[in-house]
Amino acid sequence: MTPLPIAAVSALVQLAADSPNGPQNLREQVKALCPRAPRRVNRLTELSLIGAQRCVQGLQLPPDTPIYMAFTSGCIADSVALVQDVIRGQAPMPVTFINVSSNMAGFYVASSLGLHSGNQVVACKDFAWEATLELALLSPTRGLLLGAVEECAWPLAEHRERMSLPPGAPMLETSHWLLADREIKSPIASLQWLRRFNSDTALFEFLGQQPFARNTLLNVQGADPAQVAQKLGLKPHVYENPANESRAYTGMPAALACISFIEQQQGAGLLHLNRSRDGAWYALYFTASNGR
Amino acid sequence: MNLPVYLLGAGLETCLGSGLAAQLPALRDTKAQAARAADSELDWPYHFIDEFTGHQRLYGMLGRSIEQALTEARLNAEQHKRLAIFVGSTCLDLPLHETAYADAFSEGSVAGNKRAAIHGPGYGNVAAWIAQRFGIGGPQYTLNTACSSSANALLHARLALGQGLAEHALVVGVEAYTRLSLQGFGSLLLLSRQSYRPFDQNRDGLILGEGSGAMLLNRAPPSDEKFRFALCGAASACDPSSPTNSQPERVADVMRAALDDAGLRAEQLAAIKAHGTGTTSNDLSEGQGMRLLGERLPPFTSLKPYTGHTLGAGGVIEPLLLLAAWRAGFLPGTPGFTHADPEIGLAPVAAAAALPERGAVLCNFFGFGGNNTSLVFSRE
Repeated sequence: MTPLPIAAVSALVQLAADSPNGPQNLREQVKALCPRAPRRVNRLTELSLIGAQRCVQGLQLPPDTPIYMAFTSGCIADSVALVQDVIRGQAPMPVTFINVSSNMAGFYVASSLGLHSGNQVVACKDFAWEATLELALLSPTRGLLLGAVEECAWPLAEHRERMSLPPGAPMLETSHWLLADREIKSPIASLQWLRRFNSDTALFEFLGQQPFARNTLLNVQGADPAQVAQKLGLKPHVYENPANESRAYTGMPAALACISFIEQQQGAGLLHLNRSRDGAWYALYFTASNGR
Repeated sequence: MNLPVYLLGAGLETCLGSGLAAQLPALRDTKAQAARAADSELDWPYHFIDEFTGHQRLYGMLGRSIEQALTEARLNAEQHKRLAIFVGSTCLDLPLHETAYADAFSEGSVAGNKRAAIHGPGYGNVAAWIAQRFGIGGPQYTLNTACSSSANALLHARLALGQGLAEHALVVGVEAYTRLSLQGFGSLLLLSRQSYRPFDQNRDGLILGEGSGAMLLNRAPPSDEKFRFALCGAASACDPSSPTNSQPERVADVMRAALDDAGLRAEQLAAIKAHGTGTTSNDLSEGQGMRLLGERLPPFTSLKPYTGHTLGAGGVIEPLLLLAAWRAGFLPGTPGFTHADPEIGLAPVAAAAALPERGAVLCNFFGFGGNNTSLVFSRE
């Protein structure tokens, strides 16, 4: 593939609070960032608007820039509430029902940024971030706006149970965004390649033939990072997420790792590897423009 | 302009029957379908597939449609293993979660939040089930863009095949009954309690339905088919002006973009399969959008009255209904249509009309979130 130049990224990472009053209100942040903040939107849309606006930082994007959003469980809070309501015999509120469509988040982002190209939501069981990037790369447009957003549902104790997490496990809400511009002269980073493999053998055979920049860091998911690092002779990508809670659960750690590398530029390159439960791999290689 | 991709195998499960051929009698007999809907538990009509119930509903219809497509495509073992899976659906696995919660609720075990709704959520669960059930090891992509979901799955499958991401793609659209969808559309006052009448002056809303469609697509044309069915154009756009109702100009834009992608002009089309939801505002926008394409428009139809509006699955199901009829030489009429709406200024075909053996048909799919997708299918 032709390398994809990255113009900007943003990361909103916050620890979900075990508050009896529910989550922290995001309305003021949305209003501060969006000139015409939409009313009556759900939390997933608010997280998306904050992340997208922070990434774009007031830039006027080409209107044909498509939006690709990666979700693992989408509007989980409203989905839970609506299912419980209808089974208990209560009719859904019309606005809540419309907004539970996961592509509504992208709609409000498109509306706030004046974009009118495709607005896609992509998911994949173990590879939501990677598969979304892969499909976005098929788009021929100059720009691409990619978001990976996850909300929690309250009560948090119930949500941990839903996600099969132990009681008290810290959980993150995240909104990661990446703006690519194929014509930008000074990108902050580039995605050099993205590949999928069906086996360990195919992956390591391919990696063995790749030239990596000196001081390329390694991020591994779904496999033993130390073992893979030793095999490849690369140093691990060590990052502290902005919520300062390295053990916290997030459904898309891949987005967190890749965006944090691009933001912090602690190495010259990042090799991100993710292995699924059935043994398939995605491999992504980013290079940083100012990496050390 | 991107290259076409070709249909190697198809599977279809709707209220009309199992398999493409089973849809034909109903598609021929336009009048018989106008009032065809079973009463649901919530007193709105709904097109159920009676064979599948409860926990079996979603994966029963899904599995059956995929089996049909795989059987027809006759891939070898290596090709089968490497298949890329594209799923387009609005409900995803929500029917399972809703049924589980309803069971728990009726047993009284939800008291005190002991069992809150939706355990093990995951937008990728349906695609993962397909991979496991059919032993497919290729990449999995799930598109979730409301009523254009599986149309967008087809659009991306074509791009992926064209750019060498996969050799074959299994594209699936599935929608199974949920009380949430029925009651949600009811709360929006978009459901008809009587009959489906797209583009009719007296249309009063939509009737939902369930179903599953599967297409197995290939970059290379099949060698042993007399007529080859291909997806040869596609475009998707977002109208950011309204979350529920696109402007005619934006509707026309996406149709033009799909035609450009196919290298065609509107007057070269053999027909248009409209989105045709039967709601006052959507049919008006779409009709006015079609008028913006030019003065010489081909005949158009809406297929939703036959199966009910299958939401995100329609992007695969409706082109397969069209194909079933096309193979038999006709364009199905629009059930329920009797009086043209002067505000729209266009009338769909009311009864089955002849469709030339070869040509191209534009298919529209519009969803909440301003998500508009048009596809061009050809038979050559």
